Amino acid sequence: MSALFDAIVVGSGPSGAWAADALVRGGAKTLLLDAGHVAPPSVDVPEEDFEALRRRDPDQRRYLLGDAFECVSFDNVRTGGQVTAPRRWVGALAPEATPIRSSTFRAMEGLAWGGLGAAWAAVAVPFDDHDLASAPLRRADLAEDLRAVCDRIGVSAGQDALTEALGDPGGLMPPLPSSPGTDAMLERYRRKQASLLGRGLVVGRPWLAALSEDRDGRRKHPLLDLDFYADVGRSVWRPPILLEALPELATERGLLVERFIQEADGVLRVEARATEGRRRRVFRTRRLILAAGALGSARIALRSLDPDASLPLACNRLRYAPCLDLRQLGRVHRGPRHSLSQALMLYRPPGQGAAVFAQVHAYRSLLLWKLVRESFLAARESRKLLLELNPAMTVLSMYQGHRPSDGQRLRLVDDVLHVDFPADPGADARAVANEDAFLALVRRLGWLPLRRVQAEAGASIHYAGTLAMSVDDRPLTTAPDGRLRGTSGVYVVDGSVLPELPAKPLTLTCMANARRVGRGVASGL
Amino acid sequence: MSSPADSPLARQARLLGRYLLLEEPADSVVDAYVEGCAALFDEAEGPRTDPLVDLATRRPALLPLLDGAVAWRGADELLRRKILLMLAVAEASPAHTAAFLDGTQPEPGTLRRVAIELLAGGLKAGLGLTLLRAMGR
Ligand SMILES: Cc1cc2nc3c(=O)[nH]c(=O)nc-3n(C[C@H](O)[C@H](O)[C@H](O)COP(=O)(O)OP(=O)(O)OC[C@H]3O[C@@H](n4cnc5c(N)ncnc54)[C@H](O)[C@@H]3O)c2cc1C
Repeated sequence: MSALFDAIVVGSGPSGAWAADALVRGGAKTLLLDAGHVAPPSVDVPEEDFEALRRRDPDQRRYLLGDAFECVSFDNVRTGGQVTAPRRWVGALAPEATPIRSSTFRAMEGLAWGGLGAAWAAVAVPFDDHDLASAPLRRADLAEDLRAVCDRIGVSAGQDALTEALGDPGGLMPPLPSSPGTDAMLERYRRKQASLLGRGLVVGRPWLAALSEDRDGRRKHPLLDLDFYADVGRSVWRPPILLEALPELATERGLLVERFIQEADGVLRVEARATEGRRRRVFRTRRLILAAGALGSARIALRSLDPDASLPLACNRLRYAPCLDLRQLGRVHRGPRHSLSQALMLYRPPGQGAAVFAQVHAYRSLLLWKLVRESFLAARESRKLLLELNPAMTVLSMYQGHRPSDGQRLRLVDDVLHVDFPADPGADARAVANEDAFLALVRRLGWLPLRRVQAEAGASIHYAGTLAMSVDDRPLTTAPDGRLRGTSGVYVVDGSVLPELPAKPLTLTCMANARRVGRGVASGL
Repeated sequence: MSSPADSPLARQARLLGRYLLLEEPADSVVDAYVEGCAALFDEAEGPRTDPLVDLATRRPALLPLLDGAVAWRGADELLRRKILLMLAVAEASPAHTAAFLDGTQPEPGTLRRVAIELLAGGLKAGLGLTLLRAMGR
């Protein structure tokens, strides 16, 4: 008979890593199971300044476009379209191993060691009480865990209006430098801060899980501008960094957990199959922690508890707005830089929670041909035109919150996940109104939005709501301690438990909550 | 059979390269374009028949107008996709990277240059779309 574990964690993404950390530190004999796909031995991106590399490396096509030209797409609004060739492996296994059928929603799952966190863009902001209003959870419940997580992963941020608005959890590092264009915008914001704050616009340096100082064997960000392609010095935090520091944690990769079965003696039987071949495995545990992502955990819960049920699905709306700063035209911006977010913007209409959250990216680190693709003018003129405009351009990735409508649900059909995600005209109209109001304020900062680009449903890659936390004792929901209702020893720690998504990226909050639940489970063993 | 360097796709690559970059594209870029066409457009056996690509190949003088027209219409036209592929492979080659990186010194007259490109681009789109309409497309 297989060994009995105190706890089995399913998933090595940010949530699973933090749950495992809490369990191991709490003394639980813990096994982590994961599909665990790892990066193929492909081209190594030399650790050099990106621009210098582009001027000299004859192999650059492999990481800029991909060996099979997989990054030459003619449509940028698709889910995963932003993922560059060296990170495509993260999503490579899922379409075959855990397919999702939908005509209205395109999801990205990462059956990778580190989950989607192996590709994430490291924007790490905490939810506040407004953001958590739909869940029986308050920021204060997460305070200790937020602080511990921020301290370990290393979050760099500014001492500015944004940090004041988000609430400093403690342990923040100084910010990474922003692009000169962003600096100029931030300066304008400071001058108009009182009036813009009054209208609900908060702007500041980005909160990034990227080091501005050396820490725990990781190097401070080298500012080579390689972020889209390589993890130099491990300055950007990814889940394997945490897992490698847990020698007591047992791990098994190459496995897809299919279901759990509750046995009479309170022991849970966990059934898995190999990602390659037909081998099946069975594990036994007293507690099972689902951290397979909101879609992955939903799949396991449905199969195990009620294959005919359907579950709600939340996903942030995402639209892009390229903006032009006429005052930056003709400037030359050189020197060390990074390609993570350069600034963050939060639009909170007076008396309300976050309505729009925007990540500011400089265009400089992207390839120019992708900008040409977005232009309405002939490619020859567009190349020259965009070369002139590039230093003055930024792109805003605008996220909005989402509460699943009645029809936005997922279910299993012949064991395959189907997502119904019909449009919600009322919510869409409110989203457009929020965006209009937000962009009107952005204009006051001297940034001219050129157009708006709607990403397809699912493209934000922020998924939640499937096994929502609630105080009502309903099937396929979770209790405030993370326990999955209808089970005595199964806990859920990923985005599944958030009934709605506010206009903020969720991962930092998921990590803190996973640690909270993990600690609770460990102490109850 | 024509040699790879002289294949119809290689000739297409040179035509597009010269037009877009204002210089002869490097051989490695031509090869990359041919590979890209095979991977993305199912052209491992040679170019597909496409009225706009064929017209641009037969009458290179019309390429600027066709470029303007297909840019306006969006990415569904094969010609537009081929133009973008050529830009992508050229940008990912050290031989042509400089054409995609901005300068090291501030140059006066940015607004004038922007206005000229906008005007030229607009004109090409207008003439190109008229041409497509005359072709019944
Ligand atoms: C390009 C990109 C940029 C992003 N940027 C940001 C950002 O800046 N800020 C932010 O907050 N979020 C960002 N995200 C989203 C973020 O990555 C996710 O919210 C986060 O990874 C979710 O963590 P998780 O651990 O809950 O789930 P995941 O990261 O999805 O991990 C799930 C894990 O479970 C495993 N798994 C799934 N099913 C099974 C199964 N049946 N059996 C065994 N193992 C299984 C997978 O292999 C994986 O390891 C980004 C995502 C992408 C792709």
